[in-house]
Amino acid sequence: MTGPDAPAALRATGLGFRYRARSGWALRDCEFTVPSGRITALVGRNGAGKSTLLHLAGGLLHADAGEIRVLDAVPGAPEARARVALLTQDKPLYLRFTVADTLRMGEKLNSSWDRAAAEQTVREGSIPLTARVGELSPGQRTRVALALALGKRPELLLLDEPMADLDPVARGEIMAALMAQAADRGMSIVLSSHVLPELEQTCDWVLLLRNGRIELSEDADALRESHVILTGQADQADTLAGCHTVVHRRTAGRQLTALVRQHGPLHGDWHVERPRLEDILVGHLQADGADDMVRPAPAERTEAAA
Amino acid sequence: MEGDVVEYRIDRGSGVPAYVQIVEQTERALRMGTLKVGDKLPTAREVVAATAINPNTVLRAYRDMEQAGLVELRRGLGTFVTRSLARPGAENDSPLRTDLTDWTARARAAGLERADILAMVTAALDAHDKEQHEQHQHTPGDRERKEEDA
Amino acid sequence: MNSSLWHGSLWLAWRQQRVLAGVGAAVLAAAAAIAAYYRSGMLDALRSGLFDHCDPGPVSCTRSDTGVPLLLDIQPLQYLGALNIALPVIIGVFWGAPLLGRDRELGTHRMVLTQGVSRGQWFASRFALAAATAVTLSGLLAGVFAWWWRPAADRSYGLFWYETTALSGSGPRVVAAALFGLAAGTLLGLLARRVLAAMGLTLLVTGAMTLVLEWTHKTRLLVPPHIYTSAGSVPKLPMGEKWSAGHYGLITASGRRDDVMNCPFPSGAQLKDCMDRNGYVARFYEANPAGDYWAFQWTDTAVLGGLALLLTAVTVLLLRRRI
Repeated sequence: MTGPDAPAALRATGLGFRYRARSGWALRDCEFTVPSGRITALVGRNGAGKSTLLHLAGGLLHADAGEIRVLDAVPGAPEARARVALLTQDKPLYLRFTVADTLRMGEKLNSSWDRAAAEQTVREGSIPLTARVGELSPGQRTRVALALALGKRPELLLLDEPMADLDPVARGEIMAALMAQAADRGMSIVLSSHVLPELEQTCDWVLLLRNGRIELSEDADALRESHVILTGQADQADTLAGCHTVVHRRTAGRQLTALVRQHGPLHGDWHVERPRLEDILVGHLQADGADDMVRPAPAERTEAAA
Repeated sequence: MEGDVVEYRIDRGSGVPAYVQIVEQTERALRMGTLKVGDKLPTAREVVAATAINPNTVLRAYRDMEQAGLVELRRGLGTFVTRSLARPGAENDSPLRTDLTDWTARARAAGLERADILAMVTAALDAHDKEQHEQHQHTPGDRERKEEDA
Repeated sequence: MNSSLWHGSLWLAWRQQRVLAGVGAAVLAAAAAIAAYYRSGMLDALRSGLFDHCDPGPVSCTRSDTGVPLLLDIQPLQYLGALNIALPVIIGVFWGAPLLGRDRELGTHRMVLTQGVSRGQWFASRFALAAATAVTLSGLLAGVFAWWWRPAADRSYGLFWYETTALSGSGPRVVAAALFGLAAGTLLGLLARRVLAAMGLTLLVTGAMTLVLEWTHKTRLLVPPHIYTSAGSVPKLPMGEKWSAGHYGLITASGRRDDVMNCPFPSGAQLKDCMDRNGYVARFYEANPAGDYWAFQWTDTAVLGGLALLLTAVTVLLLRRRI
């Protein structure tokens, strides 16, 4: 949707951040590039640093090490503020403002404002403009917050758990509204979520954080193509060693099930399944440790690759 | 023609990439004749607003179909069907169809079950295809069994 | 900087502070109406001729016929003075503490700061609006007090300049104190986790500062009193409008000052005898002349204004870290 010479939506080099000078690193040595025009899933377990990363990109926090760039601009700088929108997880709004006041605030606090887009987002949720924000349901409030973010016509939209506390219908509606806006404008989106099935057909880039480090930054289809789920005799696990990366594996009796990142042809006798994106992400989230080598299959029932 | 001739339904749990699902559903509509030459496909925004899938996916599906010569992208106007997949021989009143109806009636009269009939048709198709090109190309499906082992 | 964004952040600041500004305006209007009513009553009393025979100075004046002390009704004026003294506490607690604290507690600053305005614009516009309103409100309240007080100023039947409600409830120091209260509340709102905690802390800090300044007045710490001497046992200079520091005494030829209790007699033969006996050549007392009203005013203004600037600077420095 965007030309090849377009700036990266998000780029980090050696990025590190900690909340207190003496505390541990919330993010460390993060190095990645998200191309523009992508809809990126930012996944990771609780405390992996997803919100921290989004707050850094939105200019609410400042890096302690390395740097992060949004559309080649410093987060929080005037040119970044005009082009990047961030919707934080708590979706804070002034509860005593009416919806109309809230949109008016957006109009006044931004150098450019697309009133039609903002009002359309609100209207699609059949939210009256005269209603007070405090009286709206969580889903409606998310929609108003989203309208505020979309009204500034961002080139990059950062969303922190936008669907948390929403019912399935509202989730679908909001996701559809987001995708429609992305289709209209070629906007890049980075959204964090725990609800992996929701990301399956929406995201085409994956950023996976584990313990404050970037584990994956890759095209979603490339991930689907490079990973396989193998089922077979546990004693042939050695055939995987060396040439493939075992992301996660489970042994039950004599049977081994493994999520494998394939590098070249498979040897041995395996039943091969194509994993869904969700399977790949869960596999990577469950894996703990940097060493990808396979150990000889031990007898435990469940075990992650060491 | 309005762009609401097809409606895509995306199965998120199937593991089949959404762009493949769009291509398959378009082809099916073309075979069934619900989509005809000159029809306008829904815009990416319309598909996305209805299905909440990634717009890049829709664009990729349309691009794939354009490369396959099924549709044509007219800048500023939309995506239009340029070729039909409905075969003249597959229509309801074609001689082939009539033959098949007769044959099915005979098979049923001979006491064959539905599964038996389907197996016969598949076997006949396989044999025919094998004859056509000895060098069989394996298309990677969702599930493939490389070897059997107990 | 984009001027429309300044306009926008000021709009938001006004949208959030307009209720407080309205309350302030109502208080001011009420104070002005009450002042106008009582002041005209006071002027009527003064015009009646009842007070014409009274001398200036602190000696109370009585009715020539009944001997009842003559006094103007200055109680409401003192209430206004008390309000002016409490102004930094009120402004600090209800305006300063929530200024940044409310948004921080609700997280709404994140919503505002992810729009087009910068942290600096956001803070500057809301603080400037609050400061301007605080200056206007406190300045006008101090003005109302001065206007009301003037006819009764420094009269035994009125209010002397050194009385707490007049000295601390009027003049430029009221404005400086209001700014101090605002700055203290704003900083504490930035530091405390909850608005309620910030309000409590602001109450403590501004209340303590108010008391400390009262204490410096009482002890004359910042504005030392003058020493008025009278040679021999001649009657001392009348105290008049001066604010006595409460130190009286006797001076020897060598200049040593002794306590008045060494010769505790009013002017007269006994006093003369006692002074001669002990070698005292003069008597003295310590007091601040009426002109020191402005010395007190400007020292308070400098202290409070300086603190307000300091606290605002700290707030600005911490803004990037804490928000």
